[in-house]
Amino acid sequence: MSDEEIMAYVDGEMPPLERLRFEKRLRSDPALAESVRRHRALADSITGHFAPVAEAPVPERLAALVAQHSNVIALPVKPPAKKSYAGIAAAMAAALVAGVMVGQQLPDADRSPIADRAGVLVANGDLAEALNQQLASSPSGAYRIGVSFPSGQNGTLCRTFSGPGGAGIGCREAAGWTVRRYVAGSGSEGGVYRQAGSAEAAIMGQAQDMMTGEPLDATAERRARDSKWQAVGK
Amino acid sequence: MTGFERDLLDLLPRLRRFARSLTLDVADADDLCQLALERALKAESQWAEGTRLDSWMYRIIRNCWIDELRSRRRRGESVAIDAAGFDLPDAADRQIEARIELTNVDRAMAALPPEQREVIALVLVEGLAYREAAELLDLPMGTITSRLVRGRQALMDILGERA
Repeated sequence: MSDEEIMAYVDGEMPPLERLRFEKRLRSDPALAESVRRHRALADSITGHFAPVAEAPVPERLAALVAQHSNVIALPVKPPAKKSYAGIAAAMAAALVAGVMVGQQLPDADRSPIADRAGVLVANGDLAEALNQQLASSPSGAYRIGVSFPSGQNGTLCRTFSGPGGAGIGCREAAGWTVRRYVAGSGSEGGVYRQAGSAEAAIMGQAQDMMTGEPLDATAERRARDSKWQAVGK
Repeated sequence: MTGFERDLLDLLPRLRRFARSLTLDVADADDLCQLALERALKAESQWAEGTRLDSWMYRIIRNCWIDELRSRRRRGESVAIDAAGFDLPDAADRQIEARIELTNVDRAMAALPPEQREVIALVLVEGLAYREAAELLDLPMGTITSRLVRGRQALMDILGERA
């Protein structure tokens, strides 16, 4: 019997019929039995040596890396093929998990800053107005615009914003300003959300990941506004 | 938290174990995990839902580790990586681990060339089937089994399990 066969037997990788034959031979071949014992002992000592690592508590910094990442919600980029209430529910649930106010505001489509249009979350009311008109250099009203930048292959224009509920990224698409990212800010619900200014920081990081070209300077931003935020192409 | 992130959290203990068996160092293992997690969170869209997240993560960890070994080599630390690939067995990287107090098993694992160590780690430590390890490493089955045989042989020699 080759080492390869002994190993396959010990690792449970031997096909059933071969296995039967092997075990028959094992009973009458002490040298083979000894080889199998040694292979087993080795496998056990390797497995046993590293097993405690998986039993030990995971260091906070690693768990936090994954957990904190979820403060930033990636909202669906593409609308579902047809109006899907499951999809809307999922988006709402995702929003609520991160403590975003959007979820609660969805039913009141007229007044909420983010509305559901056929499964796509779109900026509404004051937020839509701010995204349409406001320049980064002249903040006014409840929302502040951060950086405007092209994203995706078509150079769709996106803008970061921050407001009373948190910060996010809106991208100008056919349906309006679709909200691609949203992070809950501080100050809401009695200090439950402690991420404070980190919402904006998180959104800036996300914006950097989404950028497919240079962010717009003041002149380009004004020009983009005047041409109704048409995609810049590539 | 998304399902993807929850699944990642659940996988963390196993990912740490895998990273430990590659690096054989507590701090290096968690640094490697951190690097791999950051990469994974960034590349979430590249993960095909319905495929195995654990295999995907093992692959990312393994690739990060190869990057690390390559850069150690560039920095002049002796590591067994050949520019042409990952294939030439040369256990020079045992010198890195020699600095650290190692148990017998760690020492034996450290003596393996990286391409044998990773197969041993996937099959004996993580319990993957040969086929799964072959797919994960993108290698033919024969290569997996021969690396396993050679790796085990070397481990037995060092650990005194061979008569």
